[in-house]
Amino acid sequence: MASHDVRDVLNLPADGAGSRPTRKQKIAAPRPNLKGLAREVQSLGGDNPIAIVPEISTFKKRRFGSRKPAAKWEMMPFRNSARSDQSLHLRHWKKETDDQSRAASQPQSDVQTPGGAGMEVAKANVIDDSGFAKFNVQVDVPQYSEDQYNSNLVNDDWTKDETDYLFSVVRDFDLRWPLIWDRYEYIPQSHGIVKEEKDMDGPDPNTAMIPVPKPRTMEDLKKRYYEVAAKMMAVQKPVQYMTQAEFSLHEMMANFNPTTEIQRKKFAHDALSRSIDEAREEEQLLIEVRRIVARQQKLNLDRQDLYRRLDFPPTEQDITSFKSSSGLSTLLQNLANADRSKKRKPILDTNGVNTPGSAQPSAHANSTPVSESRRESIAASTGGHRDSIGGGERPERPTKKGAQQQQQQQERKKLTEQEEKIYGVSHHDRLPSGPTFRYERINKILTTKSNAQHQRITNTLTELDIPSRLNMPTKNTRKMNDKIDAEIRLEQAKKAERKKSMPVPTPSTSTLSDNAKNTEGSSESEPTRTSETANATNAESTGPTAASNADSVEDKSTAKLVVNGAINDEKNNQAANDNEAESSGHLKPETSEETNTRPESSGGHKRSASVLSGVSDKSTKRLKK
Amino acid sequence: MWEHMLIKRLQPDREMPSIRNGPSATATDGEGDVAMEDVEAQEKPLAENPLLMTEAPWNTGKAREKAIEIAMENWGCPAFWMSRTPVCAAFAAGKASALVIDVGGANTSVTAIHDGMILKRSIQKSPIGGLWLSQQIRTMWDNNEPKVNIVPYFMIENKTPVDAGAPAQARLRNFPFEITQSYRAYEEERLLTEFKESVVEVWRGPGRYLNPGNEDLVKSQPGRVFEMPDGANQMWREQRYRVSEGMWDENAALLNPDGSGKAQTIPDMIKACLNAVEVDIRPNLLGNVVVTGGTSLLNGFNDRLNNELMAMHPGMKIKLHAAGLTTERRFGAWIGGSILASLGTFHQMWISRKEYEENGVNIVEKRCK
Repeated sequence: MASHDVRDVLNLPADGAGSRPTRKQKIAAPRPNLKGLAREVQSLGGDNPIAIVPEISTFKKRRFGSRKPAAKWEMMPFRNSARSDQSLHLRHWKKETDDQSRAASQPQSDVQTPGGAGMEVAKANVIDDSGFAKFNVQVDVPQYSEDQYNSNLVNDDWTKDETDYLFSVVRDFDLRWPLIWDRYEYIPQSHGIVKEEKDMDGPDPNTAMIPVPKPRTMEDLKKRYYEVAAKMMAVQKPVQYMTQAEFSLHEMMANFNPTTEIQRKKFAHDALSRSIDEAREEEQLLIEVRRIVARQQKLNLDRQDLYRRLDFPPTEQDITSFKSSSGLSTLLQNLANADRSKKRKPILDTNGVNTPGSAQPSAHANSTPVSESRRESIAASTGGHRDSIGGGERPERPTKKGAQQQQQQQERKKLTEQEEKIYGVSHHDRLPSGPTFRYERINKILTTKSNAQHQRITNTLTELDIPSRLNMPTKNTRKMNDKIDAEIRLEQAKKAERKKSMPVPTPSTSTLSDNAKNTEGSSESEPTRTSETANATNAESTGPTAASNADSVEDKSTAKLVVNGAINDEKNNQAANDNEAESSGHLKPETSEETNTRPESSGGHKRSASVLSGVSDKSTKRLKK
Repeated sequence: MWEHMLIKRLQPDREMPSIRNGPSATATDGEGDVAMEDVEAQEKPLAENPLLMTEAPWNTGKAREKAIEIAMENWGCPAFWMSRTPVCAAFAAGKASALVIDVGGANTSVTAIHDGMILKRSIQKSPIGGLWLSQQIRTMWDNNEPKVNIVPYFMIENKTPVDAGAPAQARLRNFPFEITQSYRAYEEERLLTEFKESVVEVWRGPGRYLNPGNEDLVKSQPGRVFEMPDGANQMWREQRYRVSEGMWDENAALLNPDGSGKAQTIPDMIKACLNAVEVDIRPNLLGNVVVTGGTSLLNGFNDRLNNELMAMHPGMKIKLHAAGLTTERRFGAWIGGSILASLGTFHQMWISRKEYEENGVNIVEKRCK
């Protein structure tokens, strides 16, 4: 079935039919190349040629394509410097380099000539050494001389011959003890002259007997070897001069204990020759142990996890940068930044109450989500910390944090009262930021208001001639005030005296005492009066009290105007109360006067504090009268 | 063909007398000198390359000295080395320390190798090998109900197919000359080898084949048919396990008419071998068991060996290394020797001609340990 049949079945438009025959013909050309496929089979593929036959044409092309000629290898002789016999020259295949091929062409004639002694040297120069010669390492086996043996190493169990034999075997087998033990076949020198020379005191039958080789266990051999080696070590280098490594080696060899070694081997042998049941039991026990250990590990992991959660994130940072004062200050700043950005959240949460979190059913507010969010926040904070460490750019941290917290804000849940208690969470208004100037309070009023209100207030203020910056009483002004007050009282007393004297002239001596009485009485009566005035004259009157403390007339007027301007808020009130506490009733008379005089001075007459004198006071009193 | 050429070069036909009378025969004052002169005159077929030979681990010092003498004097090798077969087999498996179980044709050996050297005390040798197995098969065929005659291929002129168990119908070839006994034996061995390769199987365990129940189980399983050259054929079921069981179980060995047949079994050899080595290296050896030799290619051999080792040493880590390819298993020592000779660090070990001349033949005992 060709593809046009398929098209027919699927009701596809045969528009491509026109172009297809040409394509077919194109493809038809390479097709006969596919070997081993019948034409019928090929036609099954329709437009798509059958890809059963692997294409090997590319392979052939690459083979004869741009390739360098094959590398030349040649049989090169080499020697091995590790050999005791240097004359043996073995050969191996080596890649031919340019200079080698040049060199090879030259000595060819030499090779053919019969090799003399001089030739041999020249050849050795040409022949390179095997690269493996350096791997020929020898084991260091201690050596001893005859005298050294006699003075240090004599042993009843071992003859010198056997010791020599042992050391030769050790050297031969490079300290591989299983092999040494395996090949150890000491046949005592047959009752030699040597032996008779050595121990003359020995009984004759002993020497006459054919010596039987003693069966030596590996422990015997080791013991003897280590004994000799340790002694020789100590002979060559006294113990106190040895390095740490040498000393430990010496100690190990000197303290070799064959019995423990034998015991150990016995255990090993027992372990090897267990029965099936024993092996099975052991296996079960091992499984049990493994399970216990695994459980223990899991427990430990859990505990560690818990500790990690409770702990501060560990600092992997170098703290030297925080040891200087500047470093500390930057750290503090960073912490403060982080703190602020952290603290903003709960406030935002409470302010923007009832963001999705609180809207959720209370079931959600149980402990698990909370712990989750806690975990997340910890993770986030540690993450942030790590970031900052990684980046090494501290200033970036707050911004990153902020971004993270923005994300997290939504995840915050509102806690129930109980949970707040558990976790020690408390909400409160924003705390004022330390000491401020009192006069700045007016600014606060302005700043918190909207733009339109702000405009209106400033307009009113300018209309009332109130400066944007209020002047507050100081120590000096109070002193001055007190002075004036005293003067006023004096004048009043004088006046009263004069009044008395007018109808009934009295001796001047009594005036003083009277004056004193008056002052006392006035001071006593003042609280009541102040309260009266406070009650009677509402805020309007209290405002002036505050203002009147100021020496400058401007201040007075502003205070009044502030009152008049109906901007009487509690803060002003408070300020007034404070003032009252300070300079209470002293000024009350004056204030009342002032209130009286105020209408007159509607335009806000300005009098400087220095100008303010007894004269003016008198005038006011006169007016009052 | 190539093999023939090589043998011809190494063992040239003695056509020397003519040369002996030639110009080189000047000094003739003794037998030894004549021999030497003979040697001088011969072609030195291996003068180009060093020679590495493998030998059985129980080879005697005399034989080794003779070997180096021939290699140096007759063949003119520039350098020579002798290595033990199990060591090379271990190298072929990539091990320096191993327990080599070499199940060959003439015998089976178990040897412990430590750091590339054999442990002499551990060498165990037993005749159970390919030839022993052939003998077992012969015994079995003799005792079989229709007795099986061994008629090698070369004797059959033509044959007609017959039913299983029916007597063969074949015409034998008549030779106008006498067939040598050795050729007959060789051809019979060929037939037996074919039987071993296609029919004989090792009971894989667990337990021994003679344990109750095992034989019945095998009887219920399909057997294998083997057709002799003369056309006689038979189904082999339990017998094919029985013939090889003697390698593992002494009591299972079929007794020859002369009463021989029993031999030290493989588990016994392993036990004896391990007892002759240090306790410390036994676990290491059991973890590196190298199986080599042609007879180890018997079906199920490795499974049985593993089972036996597990039963012997429960709880130990036992690992078998057996080459997967037939050739590698049969010529493990050759492969290992080739690896050894191509090692860069081996160059310093050769016994050179100069060293041989200085020290004489006993150098081989000193150097090739």
